[in-house]
Amino acid sequence: MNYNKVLLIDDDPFLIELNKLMIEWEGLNDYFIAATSAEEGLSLISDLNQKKKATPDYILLDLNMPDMDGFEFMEQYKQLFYDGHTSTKVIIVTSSTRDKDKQKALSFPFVADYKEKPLPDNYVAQLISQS
Amino acid sequence: MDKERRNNVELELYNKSEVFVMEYKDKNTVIRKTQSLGKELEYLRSVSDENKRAQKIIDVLPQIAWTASASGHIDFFNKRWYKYTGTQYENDLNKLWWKIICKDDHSAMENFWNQIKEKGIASEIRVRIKHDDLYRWHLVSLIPVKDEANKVVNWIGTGTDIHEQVMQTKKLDSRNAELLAINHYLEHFVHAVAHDLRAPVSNLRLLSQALDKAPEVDKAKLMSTISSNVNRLDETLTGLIKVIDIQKTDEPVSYDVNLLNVVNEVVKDLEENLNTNNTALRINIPDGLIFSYVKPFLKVIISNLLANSIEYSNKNHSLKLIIDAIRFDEDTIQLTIEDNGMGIDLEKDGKRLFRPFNKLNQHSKGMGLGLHIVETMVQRNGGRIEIESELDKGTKITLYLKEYD
Repeated sequence: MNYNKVLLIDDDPFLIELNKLMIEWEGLNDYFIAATSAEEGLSLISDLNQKKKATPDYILLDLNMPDMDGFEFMEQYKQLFYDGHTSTKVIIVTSSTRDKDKQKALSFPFVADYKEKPLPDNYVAQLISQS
Repeated sequence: MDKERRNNVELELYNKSEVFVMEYKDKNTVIRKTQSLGKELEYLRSVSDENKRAQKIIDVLPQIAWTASASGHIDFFNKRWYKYTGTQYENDLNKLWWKIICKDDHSAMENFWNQIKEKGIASEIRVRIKHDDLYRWHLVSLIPVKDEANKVVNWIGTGTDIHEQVMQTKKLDSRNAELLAINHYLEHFVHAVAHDLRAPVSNLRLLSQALDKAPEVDKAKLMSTISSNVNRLDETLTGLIKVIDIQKTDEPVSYDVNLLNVVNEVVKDLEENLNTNNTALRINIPDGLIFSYVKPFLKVIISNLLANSIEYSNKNHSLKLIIDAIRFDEDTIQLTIEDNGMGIDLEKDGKRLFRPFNKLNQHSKGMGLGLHIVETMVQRNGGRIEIESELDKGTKITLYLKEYD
């Protein structure tokens, strides 16, 4: 079944475009969606829920974003969509090297991993293939 | 009848052979009254002789000194004490003592006295004592004089002027707090810079990996994105150098500045830009408004805010600028800069207004550092900023600048 397995949330439009392009090369476009802000990410998830479509297996989330940052996104996500055992996993992808950011991020129950930027070029494709 | 009163004991002598000894709990309460002869009298005389000897010694000390009874009643001040405090002998020396101690230190002194009297041990306290009509910090030492039975007979007190040291320590403490604030700021700033440096670098790394795999048709597209990432890097580095330049200052940490003079200096620096914009400028600052601040910071704060007003002026009409300042409270100056420029959508952009490298307008010439710098400088010693703004109407920025100690 085709569904959006990976949602990438990052305020850097360059990064979004580059990832889209690389996914396209692998022919995996159908499995990938992206949002350039945390608010847009939340509304994409809400749309999928309303249409009773499967939510992504992975959310790749940037922390440092203007307006709503990654932590605020996770607070909202927890309140709105997390019921204690939802299968969606959040993977933090950040250029922050602060330990306290890492500790704070990993304290959310749905955060599965904490990665520093840049991700290897085939990372998203591998996630899609695995899930 | 001869009357002698030493410490808390009063002798009343009748016919030189009879004596009433009254021990006083305090000034008015007698706790013992006995009729006694020779031996007791001898003891009391010896105590008072010792006391007199001590008083003779401390009378020639170059520092202020005094003696007090075991119960803490002051019975002698040395010559230096009267000269130093500019007072004269009074019957009630205790009253005289409290007169020259700063009222703010009365309760601390009283507590201290009660504690050491109870323990009978030597100790020290810092209190302000009046000298030349000014209260100066002194180290007051109290030492008990004990008899063979280890019972406190009286107390000897001395006061040493430590005002300069105390002031120096206070200055150091405030400098220390300032350094901690700078440290805290740098930590946040470095983090913001690191993030802004890393983002384009990691993009370039990813780009180089992607270029290896990219089909020919996409390669040119990818290549064209290199320059935007390099520009971003360059902008961040230029901004970083700018901030470092501002931080570098050989001037003293803080001193009295005349706000009106500083505003006039900044206005003169920006004269050309203000003229180009045909600016109507009104300055309402009292000439005598002087306060303790870091002058280079004040210049940077004001020039950044004025530069913003010029940069974001409304192109449809000429710029109006009003600069007001008043003393807000004992240690705060309220400085307001109001313009009739483009205004800011505070609901949308309010939150990121002060973030470093965040430009509200992507076409702006600046680097998105101005307000960040203003905020850090105002907040570093407890000041704050308020912003009121309406799109197309203008912006009013109110600074509450805290004076430096």
